[in-house]
Amino acid sequence: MTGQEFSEVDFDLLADYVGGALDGTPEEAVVARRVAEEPAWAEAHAALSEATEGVRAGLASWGASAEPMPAEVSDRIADVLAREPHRPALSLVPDDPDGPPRPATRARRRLPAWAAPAAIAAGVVALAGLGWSQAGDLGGSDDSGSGTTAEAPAFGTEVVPDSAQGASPQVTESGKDYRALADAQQPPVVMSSGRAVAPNKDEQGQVMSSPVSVLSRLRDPAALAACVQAIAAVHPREVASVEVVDLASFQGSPAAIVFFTDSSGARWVWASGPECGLAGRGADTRGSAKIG
Amino acid sequence: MTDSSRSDDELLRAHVDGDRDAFAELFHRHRDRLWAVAVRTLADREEAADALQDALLSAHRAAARFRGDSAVTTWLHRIVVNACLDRARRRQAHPTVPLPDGSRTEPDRPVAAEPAAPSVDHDTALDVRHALAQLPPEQRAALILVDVQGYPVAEVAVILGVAEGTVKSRCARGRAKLAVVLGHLRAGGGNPQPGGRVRTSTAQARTASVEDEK
Repeated sequence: MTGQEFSEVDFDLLADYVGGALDGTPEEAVVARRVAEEPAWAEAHAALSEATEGVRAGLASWGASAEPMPAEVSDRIADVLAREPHRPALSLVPDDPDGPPRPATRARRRLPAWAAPAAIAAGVVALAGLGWSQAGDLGGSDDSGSGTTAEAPAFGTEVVPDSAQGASPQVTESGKDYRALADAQQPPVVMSSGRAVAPNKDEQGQVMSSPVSVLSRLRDPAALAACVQAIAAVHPREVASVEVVDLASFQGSPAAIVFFTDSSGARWVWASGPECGLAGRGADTRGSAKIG
Repeated sequence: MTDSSRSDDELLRAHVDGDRDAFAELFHRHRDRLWAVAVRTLADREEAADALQDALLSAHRAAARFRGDSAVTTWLHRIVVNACLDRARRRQAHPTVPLPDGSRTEPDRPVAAEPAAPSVDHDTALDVRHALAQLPPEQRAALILVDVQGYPVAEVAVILGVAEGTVKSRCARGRAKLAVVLGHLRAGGGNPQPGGRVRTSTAQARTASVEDEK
Protein backbone atom coordinates (compact mmCIF):
# COMPACT_ATOMS: atom_id res chain seq x y z
CA MET A 1 0.00 0.00 0.00
CA THR A 2 1.11 3.50 -0.63
CA GLY A 3 0.19 6.80 0.79
CA GLN A 4 -2.06 7.69 -2.07
CA GLU A 5 -5.35 9.40 -1.46
CA PHE A 6 -7.70 6.48 -1.21
CA SER A 7 -10.52 5.73 1.09
CA GLU A 8 -9.74 2.88 3.40
CA VAL A 9 -12.02 -0.02 4.02
CA ASP A 10 -11.70 -2.17 7.10
CA PHE A 11 -11.93 -5.46 5.33
CA ASP A 12 -12.51 -7.66 8.38
CA LEU A 13 -15.20 -5.34 9.65
CA LEU A 14 -16.84 -5.35 6.26
CA ALA A 15 -16.60 -9.13 6.09
CA ASP A 16 -18.27 -9.37 9.50
CA TYR A 17 -21.01 -7.09 8.22
CA VAL A 18 -21.56 -9.11 5.08
CA GLY A 19 -21.52 -12.35 7.06
CA GLY A 20 -24.08 -11.17 9.59
CA ALA A 21 -21.67 -11.18 12.51
CA LEU A 22 -22.57 -7.58 13.31
CA ASP A 23 -26.31 -8.12 13.33
CA GLY A 24 -27.84 -6.30 16.24
CA THR A 25 -24.63 -4.62 17.28
CA PRO A 26 -23.84 -0.89 17.18
CA GLU A 27 -21.20 -1.59 14.55
CA GLU A 28 -23.84 -2.81 12.16
CA ALA A 29 -25.32 0.66 11.85
CA VAL A 30 -21.89 2.23 11.53
CA VAL A 31 -20.88 -0.03 8.67
CA ALA A 32 -24.26 0.32 7.02
CA ARG A 33 -23.88 4.09 7.06
CA ARG A 34 -20.41 3.95 5.54
CA VAL A 35 -21.56 1.56 2.83
CA ALA A 36 -24.41 3.93 2.06
CA GLU A 37 -22.38 7.09 2.13
CA GLU A 38 -18.84 6.25 1.08
CA PRO A 39 -18.19 5.04 -2.45
CA ALA A 40 -15.14 3.02 -1.47
CA TRP A 41 -17.10 1.11 1.12
CA ALA A 42 -20.00 0.66 -1.24
CA GLU A 43 -17.73 -0.68 -3.95
CA ALA A 44 -15.97 -3.04 -1.59
CA HIS A 45 -19.26 -4.18 -0.12
CA ALA A 46 -20.68 -5.05 -3.51
CA ALA A 47 -17.55 -6.90 -4.52
CA LEU A 48 -17.28 -8.83 -1.29
CA SER A 49 -20.96 -9.75 -1.22
CA GLU A 50 -20.77 -11.19 -4.68
CA ALA A 51 -17.51 -12.97 -4.00
CA THR A 52 -18.78 -14.42 -0.73
CA GLU A 53 -21.71 -16.01 -2.50
CA GLY A 54 -19.30 -17.65 -4.90
CA VAL A 55 -17.25 -18.99 -2.02
CA ARG A 56 -20.29 -20.33 -0.23
CA ALA A 57 -21.47 -22.06 -3.36
CA GLY A 58 -18.07 -23.66 -3.84
CA LEU A 59 -17.91 -24.88 -0.27
CA ALA A 60 -21.44 -26.21 -0.36
CA SER A 61 -20.73 -28.02 -3.59
CA TRP A 62 -17.70 -29.65 -2.04
CA GLY A 63 -19.71 -30.56 1.02
CA ALA A 64 -22.38 -32.20 -1.09
CA SER A 65 -19.93 -34.85 -2.19
CA ALA A 66 -19.77 -37.93 -0.01
CA GLU A 67 -16.74 -38.39 2.19
CA PRO A 68 -17.22 -41.86 3.65
CA MET A 69 -14.81 -43.14 6.19
CA PRO A 70 -12.37 -45.52 4.52
CA ALA A 71 -12.93 -49.10 5.53
CA GLU A 72 -9.46 -49.54 6.98
CA VAL A 73 -9.94 -46.49 9.20
CA SER A 74 -13.35 -47.69 10.32
CA ASP A 75 -12.02 -51.16 11.06
CA ARG A 76 -9.05 -49.77 12.93
CA ILE A 77 -11.12 -47.51 15.16
CA ALA A 78 -13.74 -50.18 15.73
CA ASP A 79 -11.00 -52.56 16.78
CA VAL A 80 -9.48 -50.03 19.16
CA LEU A 81 -12.86 -49.34 20.70
CA ALA A 82 -13.57 -53.05 21.05
CA ARG A 83 -10.29 -53.58 22.85
CA GLU A 84 -10.86 -50.64 25.14
CA PRO A 85 -11.71 -51.99 28.57
CA HIS A 86 -15.31 -51.34 29.22
CA ARG A 87 -14.80 -49.10 32.15
CA PRO A 88 -17.30 -49.71 34.83
CA ALA A 89 -19.50 -46.73 35.25
CA LEU A 90 -18.50 -46.71 38.86
CA SER A 91 -14.95 -45.98 37.89
CA LEU A 92 -15.73 -43.01 35.73
CA VAL A 93 -15.35 -40.56 38.54
CA PRO A 94 -12.90 -42.35 40.82
CA ASP A 95 -10.74 -39.30 41.34
CA ASP A 96 -13.45 -36.76 41.69
CA PRO A 97 -13.59 -35.80 45.33
CA ASP A 98 -16.83 -34.01 44.83
CA GLY A 99 -18.62 -36.73 42.99
CA PRO A 100 -20.83 -35.89 40.05
CA PRO A 101 -21.23 -32.25 39.11
CA ARG A 102 -24.12 -30.58 40.79
CA PRO A 103 -26.31 -27.66 39.88
CA ALA A 104 -25.18 -24.28 41.12
CA THR A 105 -28.52 -23.60 42.69
CA ARG A 106 -29.43 -26.78 44.38
CA ALA A 107 -31.89 -26.89 47.14
CA ARG A 108 -31.00 -27.73 50.68
CA ARG A 109 -30.62 -31.44 51.11
CA ARG A 110 -32.74 -33.54 53.28
CA LEU A 111 -31.16 -36.63 54.67
CA PRO A 112 -33.14 -39.80 54.76
CA ALA A 113 -34.88 -40.15 58.03
CA TRP A 114 -32.83 -43.11 59.06
CA ALA A 115 -29.65 -41.15 58.88
CA ALA A 116 -30.76 -38.60 61.44
CA PRO A 117 -28.64 -38.78 64.56
CA ALA A 118 -31.63 -39.42 66.74
CA ALA A 119 -32.61 -42.35 64.66
CA ILE A 120 -29.10 -43.67 64.62
CA ALA A 121 -28.83 -43.42 68.35
CA ALA A 122 -31.74 -45.75 68.60
CA GLY A 123 -30.44 -48.11 66.00
CA VAL A 124 -29.52 -51.58 66.87
CA VAL A 125 -27.69 -53.86 64.56
CA ALA A 126 -29.46 -57.10 64.21
CA LEU A 127 -29.17 -60.17 62.12
CA ALA A 128 -31.20 -60.22 59.02
CA GLY A 129 -34.70 -61.28 59.42
CA LEU A 130 -36.61 -58.34 58.19
CA GLY A 131 -36.91 -59.61 54.68
CA TRP A 132 -36.07 -57.89 51.48
CA SER A 133 -38.82 -55.52 50.72
CA GLN A 134 -36.85 -52.94 48.88
CA ALA A 135 -34.94 -55.19 46.57
CA GLY A 136 -38.15 -56.02 44.82
CA ASP A 137 -38.59 -52.36 43.97
CA LEU A 138 -35.30 -52.43 42.19
CA GLY A 139 -36.32 -55.14 39.86
CA GLY A 140 -35.09 -58.04 41.91
CA SER A 141 -37.20 -61.03 42.53
CA ASP A 142 -39.54 -61.25 45.43
CA ASP A 143 -37.30 -63.49 47.33
CA SER A 144 -38.85 -63.43 50.69
CA GLY A 145 -37.32 -66.58 51.90
CA SER A 146 -37.05 -68.19 48.55
CA GLY A 147 -33.43 -67.46 47.83
CA THR A 148 -34.00 -68.25 44.20
CA THR A 149 -32.60 -65.14 42.66
CA ALA A 150 -29.44 -65.51 40.68
CA GLU A 151 -28.21 -62.07 41.61
CA ALA A 152 -25.20 -61.76 43.85
CA PRO A 153 -26.03 -63.83 46.86
CA ALA A 154 -25.28 -62.27 50.17
CA PHE A 155 -23.84 -63.63 53.31
CA GLY A 156 -23.20 -62.31 56.75
CA THR A 157 -26.12 -59.97 56.38
CA GLU A 158 -26.92 -57.35 58.90
CA VAL A 159 -29.76 -54.93 58.94
CA VAL A 160 -30.13 -51.59 60.57
CA PRO A 161 -33.69 -51.51 61.81
CA ASP A 162 -36.24 -49.00 60.70
CA SER A 163 -36.20 -45.58 62.12
CA ALA A 164 -39.38 -43.96 63.20
CA GLN A 165 -39.77 -42.05 59.95
CA GLY A 166 -38.60 -44.31 57.20
CA ALA A 167 -37.04 -47.44 55.91
CA SER A 168 -33.69 -48.41 57.24
CA PRO A 169 -30.82 -49.31 55.00
CA GLN A 170 -29.88 -52.89 54.93
CA VAL A 171 -26.26 -53.67 55.36
CA THR A 172 -24.79 -56.70 53.74
CA GLU A 173 -21.47 -58.19 52.85
CA SER A 174 -21.81 -59.87 49.51
CA GLY A 175 -18.13 -60.47 48.98
CA LYS A 176 -18.50 -58.98 45.54
CA ASP A 177 -15.87 -56.97 43.81
CA TYR A 178 -17.81 -54.39 41.83
CA ARG A 179 -16.08 -53.78 38.57
CA ALA A 180 -18.83 -53.01 36.14
CA LEU A 181 -22.10 -51.32 36.48
CA ALA A 182 -23.70 -54.49 35.24
CA ASP A 183 -22.63 -55.97 38.54
CA ALA A 184 -24.47 -53.26 40.34
CA GLN A 185 -27.76 -53.42 38.53
CA GLN A 186 -29.19 -55.34 41.40
CA PRO A 187 -28.26 -54.84 44.99
CA PRO A 188 -27.02 -57.91 46.72
CA VAL A 189 -29.85 -60.02 47.97
CA VAL A 190 -30.58 -60.12 51.63
CA MET A 191 -31.98 -63.49 52.51
CA SER A 192 -34.95 -63.40 54.73
CA SER A 193 -33.59 -66.22 56.79
CA GLY A 194 -30.41 -64.36 57.46
CA ARG A 195 -28.48 -67.48 56.70
CA ALA A 196 -25.31 -67.22 54.76
CA VAL A 197 -25.63 -68.50 51.24
CA ALA A 198 -23.03 -69.36 48.69
CA PRO A 199 -20.38 -66.68 48.60
CA ASN A 200 -19.60 -64.85 45.43
CA LYS A 201 -16.81 -66.22 43.30
CA ASP A 202 -14.48 -64.56 40.91
CA GLU A 203 -13.95 -65.48 37.30
CA GLN A 204 -11.62 -68.26 38.28
CA GLY A 205 -14.13 -69.68 40.65
CA GLN A 206 -12.20 -68.65 43.70
CA VAL A 207 -14.14 -67.55 46.69
CA MET A 208 -13.58 -63.86 47.20
CA SER A 209 -12.62 -62.73 50.61
CA SER A 210 -14.75 -60.24 52.44
CA PRO A 211 -13.25 -56.81 53.05
CA VAL A 212 -15.33 -56.48 56.16
CA SER A 213 -12.35 -56.05 58.42
CA VAL A 214 -11.30 -52.88 56.61
CA LEU A 215 -14.84 -51.64 56.49
CA SER A 216 -15.89 -52.76 59.93
CA ARG A 217 -16.12 -49.19 61.10
CA LEU A 218 -19.08 -48.72 58.81
CA ARG A 219 -20.99 -51.46 60.55
CA ASP A 220 -21.58 -48.95 63.27
CA PRO A 221 -24.88 -47.21 62.47
CA ALA A 222 -23.57 -43.79 63.41
CA ALA A 223 -20.52 -44.21 61.18
CA LEU A 224 -22.68 -45.46 58.35
CA ALA A 225 -25.05 -42.55 58.83
CA ALA A 226 -22.14 -40.15 58.60
CA CYS A 227 -20.99 -41.87 55.44
CA VAL A 228 -24.39 -41.56 53.82
CA GLN A 229 -24.59 -37.98 54.96
CA ALA A 230 -21.26 -37.33 53.24
CA ILE A 231 -22.58 -38.91 50.07
CA ALA A 232 -25.71 -36.81 50.30
CA ALA A 233 -23.53 -33.73 50.62
CA VAL A 234 -21.95 -34.28 47.23
CA HIS A 235 -24.80 -35.87 45.33
CA PRO A 236 -26.65 -33.37 43.14
CA ARG A 237 -30.04 -34.25 44.58
CA GLU A 238 -31.47 -35.23 47.88
CA VAL A 239 -31.01 -38.81 48.94
CA ALA A 240 -34.56 -40.01 49.35
CA SER A 241 -33.91 -43.53 50.52
CA VAL A 242 -31.01 -45.85 50.95
CA GLU A 243 -31.84 -49.31 49.75
CA VAL A 244 -28.86 -51.34 50.79
CA VAL A 245 -25.25 -50.89 51.70
CA ASP A 246 -22.93 -53.63 50.60
CA LEU A 247 -19.64 -53.72 52.46
CA ALA A 248 -17.73 -55.18 49.58
CA SER A 249 -15.04 -54.13 47.15
CA PHE A 250 -14.73 -51.81 44.19
CA GLN A 251 -12.06 -52.64 41.67
CA GLY A 252 -10.29 -54.76 44.21
CA SER A 253 -10.31 -52.28 47.06
CA PRO A 254 -12.64 -52.40 50.05
CA ALA A 255 -15.59 -50.13 49.53
CA ALA A 256 -19.06 -49.51 50.81
CA ILE A 257 -21.36 -49.87 47.84
CA VAL A 258 -24.40 -47.76 48.61
CA PHE A 259 -27.56 -48.23 46.57
CA PHE A 260 -29.97 -45.36 46.93
CA THR A 261 -32.77 -43.48 45.26
CA ASP A 262 -32.60 -39.73 45.03
CA SER A 263 -35.37 -37.16 45.09
CA SER A 264 -35.83 -37.38 41.31
CA GLY A 265 -36.57 -41.06 41.61
CA ALA A 266 -33.28 -42.00 40.01
CA ARG A 267 -31.44 -44.96 41.40
CA TRP A 268 -27.78 -44.58 42.11
CA VAL A 269 -24.95 -46.75 43.23
CA TRP A 270 -22.09 -45.10 45.04
CA ALA A 271 -18.75 -46.61 45.94
CA SER A 272 -17.10 -45.11 49.00
CA GLY A 273 -13.83 -46.09 50.58
CA PRO A 274 -13.26 -47.09 54.21
CA GLU A 275 -12.83 -43.48 55.28
CA CYS A 276 -16.28 -42.46 54.15
CA GLY A 277 -17.84 -40.12 56.65
CA LEU A 278 -14.68 -39.36 58.57
CA ALA A 279 -13.87 -35.74 59.24
CA GLY A 280 -12.08 -34.23 56.28
CA ARG A 281 -12.56 -37.29 54.13
CA GLY A 282 -16.05 -36.59 52.86
CA ALA A 283 -17.62 -39.51 51.09
CA ASP A 284 -14.21 -41.00 50.18
CA THR A 285 -15.76 -41.40 46.78
CA ARG A 286 -14.35 -44.05 44.51
CA GLY A 287 -17.09 -43.87 41.94
CA SER A 288 -20.75 -43.36 41.36
CA ALA A 289 -23.25 -44.13 38.68
CA LYS A 290 -26.88 -43.83 37.91
CA ILE A 291 -28.48 -47.20 37.42
CA GLY A 292 -31.72 -48.58 36.16
CA MET B 1 -25.05 -56.14 15.62
CA THR B 2 -27.02 -52.98 15.63
CA ASP B 3 -30.39 -51.93 16.86
CA SER B 4 -31.45 -48.94 14.86
CA SER B 5 -34.49 -48.47 17.03
CA ARG B 6 -32.38 -47.04 19.81
CA SER B 7 -31.76 -43.30 19.83
CA ASP B 8 -28.34 -41.81 20.29
CA ASP B 9 -29.20 -40.94 23.86
CA GLU B 10 -30.33 -44.47 24.54
CA LEU B 11 -27.20 -45.90 23.04
CA LEU B 12 -24.95 -43.68 25.09
CA ARG B 13 -26.86 -44.50 28.24
CA ALA B 14 -26.67 -48.19 27.41
CA HIS B 15 -22.92 -47.85 26.96
CA VAL B 16 -22.59 -46.21 30.33
CA ASP B 17 -24.69 -48.97 31.80
CA GLY B 18 -22.40 -51.64 30.48
CA ASP B 19 -23.73 -52.53 27.03
CA ARG B 20 -20.58 -53.41 25.16
CA ASP B 21 -22.15 -53.01 21.72
CA ALA B 22 -23.83 -49.67 22.24
CA PHE B 23 -20.88 -47.38 21.63
CA ALA B 24 -19.84 -49.34 18.56
CA GLU B 25 -23.31 -48.81 17.17
CA LEU B 26 -23.08 -45.13 17.90
CA PHE B 27 -19.72 -44.99 16.14
CA HIS B 28 -20.98 -46.80 13.05
CA ARG B 29 -24.02 -44.59 12.92
CA HIS B 30 -22.05 -41.35 12.78
CA ARG B 31 -18.63 -42.36 11.52
CA ASP B 32 -18.96 -40.87 8.03
CA ARG B 33 -20.06 -37.45 9.23
CA LEU B 34 -17.34 -37.37 11.86
CA TRP B 35 -14.79 -38.53 9.34
CA ALA B 36 -15.83 -35.86 6.86
CA VAL B 37 -15.34 -33.15 9.46
CA ALA B 38 -11.99 -34.52 10.56
CA VAL B 39 -10.49 -35.16 7.15
CA ARG B 40 -11.69 -31.85 5.75
CA THR B 41 -10.41 -29.93 8.74
CA LEU B 42 -7.01 -31.57 8.79
CA ALA B 43 -6.64 -32.26 5.06
CA ASP B 44 -4.61 -35.32 5.90
CA ARG B 45 -6.08 -38.79 6.10
CA GLU B 46 -3.59 -40.20 8.58
CA GLU B 47 -3.92 -37.24 10.88
CA ALA B 48 -7.67 -37.34 10.59
CA ALA B 49 -7.74 -41.03 11.44
CA ASP B 50 -5.52 -40.47 14.45
CA ALA B 51 -7.56 -37.51 15.64
CA LEU B 52 -10.80 -39.40 15.24
CA GLN B 53 -9.46 -42.40 17.10
CA ASP B 54 -8.27 -40.22 19.97
CA ALA B 55 -11.58 -38.40 20.07
CA LEU B 56 -13.71 -41.52 20.08
CA LEU B 57 -11.63 -43.11 22.79
CA SER B 58 -12.14 -39.97 24.86
CA ALA B 59 -15.86 -40.11 24.25
CA HIS B 60 -15.94 -43.81 25.07
CA ARG B 61 -14.26 -43.16 28.41
CA ALA B 62 -16.11 -40.00 29.32
CA ALA B 63 -19.60 -41.03 28.31
CA ALA B 64 -20.86 -40.99 31.86
CA ARG B 65 -20.06 -37.30 32.05
CA PHE B 66 -22.38 -36.50 29.17
CA ARG B 67 -25.25 -34.66 30.79
CA GLY B 68 -27.54 -34.25 27.86
CA ASP B 69 -27.15 -30.50 27.57
CA SER B 70 -26.75 -30.97 23.84
CA ALA B 71 -27.44 -33.68 21.33
CA VAL B 72 -25.13 -36.67 21.44
CA THR B 73 -23.97 -35.91 17.91
CA THR B 74 -23.13 -32.34 18.88
CA TRP B 75 -21.13 -33.67 21.80
CA LEU B 76 -19.30 -36.14 19.57
CA HIS B 77 -18.56 -33.45 17.01
CA ARG B 78 -17.22 -31.19 19.70
CA ILE B 79 -14.79 -33.83 20.88
CA VAL B 80 -13.71 -34.61 17.32
CA VAL B 81 -13.28 -30.97 16.32
CA ASN B 82 -11.27 -30.24 19.45
CA ALA B 83 -9.00 -33.17 18.67
CA CYS B 84 -8.56 -31.88 15.14
CA LEU B 85 -7.89 -28.31 16.23
CA ASP B 86 -5.30 -29.51 18.72
CA ARG B 87 -3.48 -31.30 15.95
CA ALA B 88 -3.87 -28.43 13.51
CA ARG B 89 -2.41 -25.96 15.98
CA ARG B 90 0.52 -28.25 16.73
CA ARG B 91 1.47 -28.55 13.11
CA GLN B 92 0.74 -24.94 12.23
CA ALA B 93 4.41 -24.23 11.78
CA HIS B 94 4.62 -26.89 9.14
CA PRO B 95 3.29 -26.57 5.62
CA THR B 96 0.09 -28.38 4.86
CA VAL B 97 -0.08 -30.85 2.06
CA PRO B 98 -3.64 -30.81 0.83
CA LEU B 99 -5.28 -34.02 -0.04
CA PRO B 100 -5.75 -35.10 -3.58
CA ASP B 101 -9.19 -34.78 -4.95
CA GLY B 102 -11.90 -36.69 -3.12
CA SER B 103 -12.41 -39.01 -6.05
CA ARG B 104 -9.36 -40.97 -5.01
CA THR B 105 -10.30 -44.46 -4.03
CA GLU B 106 -9.15 -46.55 -1.15
CA PRO B 107 -7.89 -50.04 -1.83
CA ASP B 108 -10.86 -51.84 -0.38
CA ARG B 109 -13.52 -49.20 -0.25
CA PRO B 110 -14.24 -47.03 -3.21
CA VAL B 111 -14.95 -43.47 -2.29
CA ALA B 112 -17.79 -43.22 -4.66
CA ALA B 113 -20.22 -40.41 -4.43
CA GLU B 114 -23.59 -41.34 -3.11
CA PRO B 115 -26.13 -41.66 -5.86
CA ALA B 116 -27.91 -38.51 -4.85
CA ALA B 117 -24.77 -36.49 -4.38
CA PRO B 118 -23.92 -34.14 -7.20
CA SER B 119 -20.51 -34.52 -8.70
CA VAL B 120 -17.95 -31.94 -7.78
CA ASP B 121 -15.61 -30.49 -10.27
CA HIS B 122 -12.15 -31.91 -9.70
CA ASP B 123 -10.32 -28.61 -9.90
CA THR B 124 -12.88 -26.81 -7.80
CA ALA B 125 -12.62 -29.32 -4.99
CA LEU B 126 -8.86 -29.26 -5.10
CA ASP B 127 -8.80 -25.46 -5.14
CA VAL B 128 -11.11 -25.35 -2.14
CA ARG B 129 -8.91 -27.77 -0.21
CA HIS B 130 -5.81 -25.76 -1.02
CA ALA B 131 -7.48 -22.50 -0.08
CA LEU B 132 -8.90 -23.81 3.18
CA ALA B 133 -5.48 -25.08 4.18
CA GLN B 134 -4.29 -21.49 4.23
CA LEU B 135 -6.81 -20.37 6.80
CA PRO B 136 -6.24 -20.35 10.54
CA PRO B 137 -7.55 -23.60 12.05
CA GLU B 138 -10.40 -21.87 13.87
CA GLN B 139 -11.70 -20.21 10.71
CA ARG B 140 -11.25 -23.41 8.76
CA ALA B 141 -13.19 -25.46 11.30
CA ALA B 142 -16.03 -22.96 11.39
CA LEU B 143 -16.30 -22.83 7.62
CA ILE B 144 -16.21 -26.59 7.26
CA LEU B 145 -18.92 -27.08 9.83
CA VAL B 146 -21.19 -24.30 8.57
CA ASP B 147 -20.61 -23.98 4.84
CA VAL B 148 -19.32 -27.43 3.94
CA GLN B 149 -21.14 -29.72 6.33
CA GLY B 150 -24.17 -27.48 6.58
CA TYR B 151 -24.63 -27.43 10.33
CA PRO B 152 -26.63 -24.56 11.82
CA VAL B 153 -24.61 -21.72 13.29
CA ALA B 154 -26.18 -22.31 16.70
CA GLU B 155 -25.05 -25.93 16.75
CA VAL B 156 -21.59 -25.02 15.53
CA ALA B 157 -21.34 -22.50 18.35
CA VAL B 158 -21.93 -25.35 20.79
CA ILE B 159 -19.47 -27.60 19.01
CA LEU B 160 -16.77 -24.94 19.05
CA GLY B 161 -17.66 -23.63 22.47
CA VAL B 162 -17.97 -20.03 21.31
CA ALA B 163 -20.73 -17.50 20.80
CA GLU B 164 -22.81 -17.58 17.64
CA GLY B 165 -21.43 -14.18 16.68
CA THR B 166 -17.93 -15.58 16.86
CA VAL B 167 -18.90 -18.41 14.54
CA LYS B 168 -20.38 -15.91 12.09
CA SER B 169 -17.29 -13.76 12.26
CA ARG B 170 -14.93 -16.67 11.71
CA CYS B 171 -16.98 -17.81 8.75
CA ALA B 172 -17.28 -14.31 7.31
CA ARG B 173 -13.60 -13.56 7.51
CA GLY B 174 -12.71 -17.01 6.29
CA ARG B 175 -14.98 -16.60 3.28
CA ALA B 176 -13.44 -13.24 2.53
CA LYS B 177 -9.98 -14.73 2.54
CA LEU B 178 -11.07 -17.64 0.41
CA ALA B 179 -12.65 -15.19 -2.00
CA VAL B 180 -9.26 -13.69 -2.62
CA VAL B 181 -7.45 -16.99 -2.88
CA LEU B 182 -10.08 -18.55 -5.12
CA GLY B 183 -10.36 -15.51 -7.32
CA HIS B 184 -13.95 -14.69 -6.62
CA LEU B 185 -13.08 -11.07 -6.12
CA ARG B 186 -12.94 -9.20 -9.35
CA ALA B 187 -9.60 -8.03 -10.57
CA GLY B 188 -9.43 -4.31 -10.69
CA GLY B 189 -11.03 -1.60 -8.65
CA GLY B 190 -13.10 -2.21 -5.61
CA ASN B 191 -11.43 -5.32 -4.38
CA PRO B 192 -10.41 -5.28 -0.79
CA GLN B 193 -7.59 -7.14 0.85
CA PRO B 194 -8.33 -9.32 3.79
CA GLY B 195 -6.89 -8.74 7.17
CA GLY B 196 -6.65 -5.02 7.21
CA ARG B 197 -7.37 -1.73 5.52
CA VAL B 198 -6.97 -1.59 1.83
CA ARG B 199 -7.09 1.01 -0.89
CA THR B 200 -10.11 0.08 -2.85
CA SER B 201 -8.97 1.78 -6.00
CA THR B 202 -5.84 -0.31 -6.11
CA ALA B 203 -7.22 -3.52 -4.83
CA GLN B 204 -5.22 -6.48 -5.81
CA ALA B 205 -7.59 -9.30 -6.30
CA ARG B 206 -6.40 -12.83 -6.40
CA THR B 207 -3.49 -12.14 -4.17
CA ALA B 208 -2.68 -15.52 -2.87
CA SER B 209 -1.02 -14.43 0.30
CA VAL B 210 -3.53 -14.87 3.04
CA GLU B 211 -2.43 -13.69 6.39
CA ASP B 212 -3.51 -15.76 9.30
CA GLU B 213 -5.84 -14.02 11.63
CA LYS B 214 -4.19 -13.58 14.97
